[in-house]
Amino acid sequence: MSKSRAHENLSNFIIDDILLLSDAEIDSELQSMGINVEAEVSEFRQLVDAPSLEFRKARLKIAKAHSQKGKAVESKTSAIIDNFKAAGKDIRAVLTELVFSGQVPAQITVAFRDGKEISDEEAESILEDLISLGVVKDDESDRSK
Amino acid sequence: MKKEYSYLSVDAFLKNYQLLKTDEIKRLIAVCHRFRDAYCLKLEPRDLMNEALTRIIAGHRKIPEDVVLVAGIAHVIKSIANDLVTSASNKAWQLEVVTEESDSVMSEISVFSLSPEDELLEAQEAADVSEKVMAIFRFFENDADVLSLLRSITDGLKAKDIVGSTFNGNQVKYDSTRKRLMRGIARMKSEGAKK
Repeated sequence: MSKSRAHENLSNFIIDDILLLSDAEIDSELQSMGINVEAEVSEFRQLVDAPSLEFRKARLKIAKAHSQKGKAVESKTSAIIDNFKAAGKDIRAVLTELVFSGQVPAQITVAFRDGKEISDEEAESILEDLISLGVVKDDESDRSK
Repeated sequence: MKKEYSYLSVDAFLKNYQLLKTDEIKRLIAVCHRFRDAYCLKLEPRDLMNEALTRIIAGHRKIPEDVVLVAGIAHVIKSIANDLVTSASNKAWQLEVVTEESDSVMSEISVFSLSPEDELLEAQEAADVSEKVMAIFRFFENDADVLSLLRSITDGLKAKDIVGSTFNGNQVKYDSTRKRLMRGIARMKSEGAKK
């Protein structure tokens, strides 16, 4: 029996012993240790508060960072579409041009079809997708002016 | 074949911890006190619990979903207690905690953080672990039954096997000896383990 194994066995026995005791025996053990049980139970319950708060704060920070990133993308997308509109370009015409130039991924080309059967909202939505995919960039909308 | 475990998420852990019954919390209190006392750790039981909760919530330690929560937390506490006994870094922590304690305690702990070589450190860790276990044996040197029980425990026998092999099936004798062992462990820190 190695020395560290002996230590591990003793540690495991300590845990098993406590887990196997009845509730009354646990009370008796704690009283024999001179513990203020009620106060310590309350303290142990509250111990989770600080690390839990830290965990939630960290998660909120990550969520905020994601949200800000999303907002930045959204803002960039709106600016590009506004530029096209300011230049008097029809969004469907822009999409048709992009499809014929072969820059648009196949699945979006299928969604666009020939552009005649989609609403303005759908056309803008497709253009937003293309902007987020990087197919359409800021400078292209600027050139449209 | 290696068993695949699925673990409690932090959210699930927090929810389940808040649902623990008072009797379950009492068991965790008892676990923390026992480890602190058995290995004469220089900290408070709540510090052990706090460290366990911090490690679990930070995701450094995970609890398998199919393990009873109290048992899972108890094993994290055990792991921390073992770290405190063996690791140099935690001995540095102990060193900070005991700065206001007596010189004799200081000189004992200072020895732990002096070995720069890994091999020496490993050997030192084994010696530290051995010393902690030996201190418990020495504490009970006048109680032959507790010493027999301790030998069986450190050999890895479980309670039901110990009753048969060490106490000839005498459950009452096992229970009273076990109680003397555990109550003695609770006194070790206050009375001081024998060198």
